Amino acid sequence: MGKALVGFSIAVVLVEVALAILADLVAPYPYNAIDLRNRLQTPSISHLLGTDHLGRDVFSRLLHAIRVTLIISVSSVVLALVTGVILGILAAAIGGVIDYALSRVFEALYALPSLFIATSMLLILGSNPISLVIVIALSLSPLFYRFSRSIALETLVKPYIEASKVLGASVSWIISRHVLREVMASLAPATVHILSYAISMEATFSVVGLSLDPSIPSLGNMLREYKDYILNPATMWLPMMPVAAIAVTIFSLNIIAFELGRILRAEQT
Amino acid sequence: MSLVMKVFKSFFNLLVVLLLVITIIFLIARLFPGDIITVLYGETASIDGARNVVGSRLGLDKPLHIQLLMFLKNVFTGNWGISIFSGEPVILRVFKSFVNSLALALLATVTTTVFSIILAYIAFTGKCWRLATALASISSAMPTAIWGLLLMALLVALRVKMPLGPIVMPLATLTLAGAGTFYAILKGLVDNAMSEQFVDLYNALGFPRHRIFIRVLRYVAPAYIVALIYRMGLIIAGAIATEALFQYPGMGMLLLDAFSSRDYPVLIGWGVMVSATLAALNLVGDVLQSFLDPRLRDLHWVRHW
Repeated sequence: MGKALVGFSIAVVLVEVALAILADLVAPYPYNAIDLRNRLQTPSISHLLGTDHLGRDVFSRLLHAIRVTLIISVSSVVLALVTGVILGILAAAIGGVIDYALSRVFEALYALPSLFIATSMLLILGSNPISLVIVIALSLSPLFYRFSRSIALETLVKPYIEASKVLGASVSWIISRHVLREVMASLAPATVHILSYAISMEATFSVVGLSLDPSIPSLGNMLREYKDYILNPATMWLPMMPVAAIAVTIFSLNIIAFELGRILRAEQT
Repeated sequence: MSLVMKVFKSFFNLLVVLLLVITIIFLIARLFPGDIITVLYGETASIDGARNVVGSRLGLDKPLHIQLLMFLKNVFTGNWGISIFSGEPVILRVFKSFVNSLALALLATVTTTVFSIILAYIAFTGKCWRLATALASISSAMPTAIWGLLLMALLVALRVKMPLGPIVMPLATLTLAGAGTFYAILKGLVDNAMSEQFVDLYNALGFPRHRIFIRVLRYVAPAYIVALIYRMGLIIAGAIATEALFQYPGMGMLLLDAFSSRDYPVLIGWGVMVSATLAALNLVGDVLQSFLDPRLRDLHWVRHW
């Protein structure tokens, strides 16, 4: 893995985060300003990435879409991470009935087709960003649960934990100080990787029309709005904008996850 | 334990998981918005007397656990109700889509396997492994939906006519999107296997590279097949974006149709069918793995909770 590639990936993610935060300041036009006289313009100085079928500035729209997609994917990963890790460590530490019950629940969640959960949740909660976050988090949390449970189980029998117990450390100290640390250290690369997975889930749900209100710009919604323009070579660049944004983001996150895992493994040995 | 006992035991496990999952589906379906009588019979059933009659015919006046038992009985006797949208029996609609998805999943598994083995062989011979790795990371860098869009763009740019038969485009999309991941899995397994002693032995005996590769493939087959079967389940459970892009009438399209027309019986039937398939594939994977790896025949069945 070249250093340049890793640097490029980190730069891409940082720039995207910055653009997402500063979207309102950076965007040259409001993301929903319709200008029907300037429809489907190719990229130019006044419209950096051209305009879409309603004359909206694609660059401004893309900035807001990156913001929405990042908020949705990061918050669903955080939600899944927090619930999965807490319950996973609890199950490992307490064991017995609680471990058995929690494991069965997460197994059922894993065995249930995630698309069924997704459509049901969207029916019950309505199609809004919060239910999309819950849907993605629900299908990601079993991964975090199983992973943190197995690492916590491995950690709890390590000699230094025994030593800590003998020295009189309380259970909550051992869990927060030692177990949580080991779990987070081994989960870090997976979390970055799962973040890219969440982004592609948002795109997939939106592109088939299963999720957000179409008026909210997200990368997936832009894909859905523009996907038919791919059939005409003259307007093909339009859907390529969200495609490129998604591909570059996911690619960069995967590179970062890989590099993070390599560094952590190198430190252990 | 004998092999028969093991298969019997895992079959029993499958049944337990299935009952649990169907119960969850039943409970989730009760939370769907809208009142079932209105959904099924429209506004005409708004007179109280008529509603009660319809309600008792559907068993809605019974307690929850009796309703659940009735639901389970209906599921297992194939009485899955009538589609609100098309008026067809749900089991027929689900079955038709299922056959389409199964064909797609089987073909995609074959093509993905072939591609990933070719890429892994290129990497194995050590000549242009950078090329193989680059191809694979491009393949796994993008979600399936985007591969579908790019394929469409390619066809348009090359001025090839779009309908090459309904299954070709979804198949190509799934192959392109899956080959990278499965190459990565296979390469990891092969790299691990290369440090095994039996490879040194074959090297010392002077086996040609391609024969060693075949031996290594046989050695890693059990783990690889489990991954393949897992993905087959994912495709059957709805390669939703691929199917929607190319209008392929599989399980993904069925779910989208049922969702957008609020066709609850079809939605429930979809959930039951897919959960049953996933559970069955899980069982097939377990059995295949212990069949292919003799060491697991005795150990694997001890489940680690």
